[in-house]
Amino acid sequence: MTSSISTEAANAKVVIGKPLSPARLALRRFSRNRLGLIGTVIVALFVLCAIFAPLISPHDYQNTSAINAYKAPGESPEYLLGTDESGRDVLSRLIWGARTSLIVSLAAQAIMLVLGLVLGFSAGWFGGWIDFVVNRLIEVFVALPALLFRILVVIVLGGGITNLILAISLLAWPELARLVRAQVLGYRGREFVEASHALGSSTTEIALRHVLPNILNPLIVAITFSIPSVIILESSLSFLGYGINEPTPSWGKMVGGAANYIQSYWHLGILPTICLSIVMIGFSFFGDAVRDALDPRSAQKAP
Amino acid sequence: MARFLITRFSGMAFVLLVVSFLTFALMYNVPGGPFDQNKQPLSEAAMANIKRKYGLDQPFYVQWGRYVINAVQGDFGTSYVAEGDKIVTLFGKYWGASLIFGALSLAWSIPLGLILGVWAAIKRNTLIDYVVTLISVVGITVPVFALGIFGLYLFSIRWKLLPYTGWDLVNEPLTAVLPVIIFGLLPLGTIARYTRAGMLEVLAQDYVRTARAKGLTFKVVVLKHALRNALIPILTVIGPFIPNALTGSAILERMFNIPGVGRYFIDSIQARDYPVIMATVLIVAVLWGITYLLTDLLYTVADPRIRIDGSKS
Repeated sequence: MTSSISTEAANAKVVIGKPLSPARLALRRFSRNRLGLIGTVIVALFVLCAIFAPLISPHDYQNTSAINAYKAPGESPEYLLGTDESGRDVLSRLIWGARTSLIVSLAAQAIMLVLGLVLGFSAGWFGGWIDFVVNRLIEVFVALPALLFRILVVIVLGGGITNLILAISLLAWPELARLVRAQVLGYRGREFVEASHALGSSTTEIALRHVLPNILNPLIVAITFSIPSVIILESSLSFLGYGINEPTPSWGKMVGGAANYIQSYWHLGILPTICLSIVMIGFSFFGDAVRDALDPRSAQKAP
Repeated sequence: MARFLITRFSGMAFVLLVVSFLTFALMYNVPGGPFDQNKQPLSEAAMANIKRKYGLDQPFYVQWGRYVINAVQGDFGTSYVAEGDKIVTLFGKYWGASLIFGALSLAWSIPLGLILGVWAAIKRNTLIDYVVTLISVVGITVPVFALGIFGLYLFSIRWKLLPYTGWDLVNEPLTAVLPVIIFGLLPLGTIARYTRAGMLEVLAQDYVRTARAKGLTFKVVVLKHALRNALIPILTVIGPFIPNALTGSAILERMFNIPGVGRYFIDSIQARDYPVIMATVLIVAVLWGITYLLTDLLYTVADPRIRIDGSKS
């Protein structure tokens, strides 16, 4: 412990003037992180592509044309990144694929967040049998073979984006619930919470006004790491053929469909793979920077 | 100790019961049945006979109860597809490839991950450190199917160094190289990253400085004093990779045509081969339970201050 304090002191620059707010300090730490800025740019580009997909994609992503099938990138100025087996524009499908990834990850994240917050908070706050039940539930969901069980869920519910979101989120909430539970346990006995309780605040009020703001930082960090993992799940399931349905483009599905003719038409498999890899690495840098900025104490320990 | 084990094992039994129920409930609701045939539709009487034979005409809870009672006695039933074949025999056939695949992947990635992590920590902020960090980032963040496609394209198609898919360890051992490397990249990257961080933290401790000050060589200090202490948090990181690797990778098995359990599971879902699906899910759940238990036990060996009930003295 002593060593971490001394390094902190050594790192601190002498600032003359008004003390900065925690938010300003976090922003300053964030903007000093070079890899984090690269990650932010990548994530921002990804989100912009997703939002403005209809405006920036040069073609309709589902327009097929048999004459234009299997064009290589650069072969025709009309199709910058070539076309796929049914003559659909690869660039447009890549741009729309970003939108699919973003929609699935945000929707799944929202469900996971609600489940994780409600279950984790109740377990940590009320304890007793509720805590017991939630903990057993978490154990059950952790024991399920994640990918295989999701395939089963997709087959039972049927393919399509909504069921895919359910299959991903219904099995992925335990991590968030665990985090929230541990955080709430740490705050339950604090004076300001007890004071609020004594003043007659309801449980919901305490949860929303006193506990939630205090656990916001670790929660944000967890979410920035959870979103890319959901994107990986979406693309993996789509790759295997248990995710997004035609004609909606998804990077994972594009790779899965192209795996068979990668020997002759490399671009169909490699281009979506490159997009996915860049976005994943961008999210990783971004997440690291967010963690370092919001939670400097854990940042010193974490790899 | 005995009490700890009893609590843990009864907890595991409960988890398995719920897992089996969930899986059963899902399968029960899968559209289509195991004996739907498009080519030669069976007569209604024959269909009813088959369903009676496998107990599929019974209500859901009866089927589930019967399954649990049989499974407890070690009878996991027979496959619907490979008719009459015992599940245990089938698993011997398919799990073999996955076991070898997973074991080979871990055999190189765990030791190399540890070595790279220690190396990067010692040579902090040098080229070696940056290269190790880059390998970690790629291994951790890029999904396996993306790494697989890159690998296939570069090594098999572009440079023609390795065979294009397939799995034949005896006659063509080169077929295993690419999938084994790709499957090992995630454990490699994760272990290297945590080892590096753990070593950096430990190397800054006072007792390491003391050990150096009393004249021990750097090598002895790193290997005997620092590594042992850095290893404790790394154990929890390594733990989950073992069941993960031993249960195969549905994605890589499909991509490289490896006849393993991941591929077999997907085929079984498609064929509605319920007993195979159940057995796979349960075996994976058991493997995870054992892994968590062993990780907790290993903790107490690596750090005697940690008590078995989870408290720290």
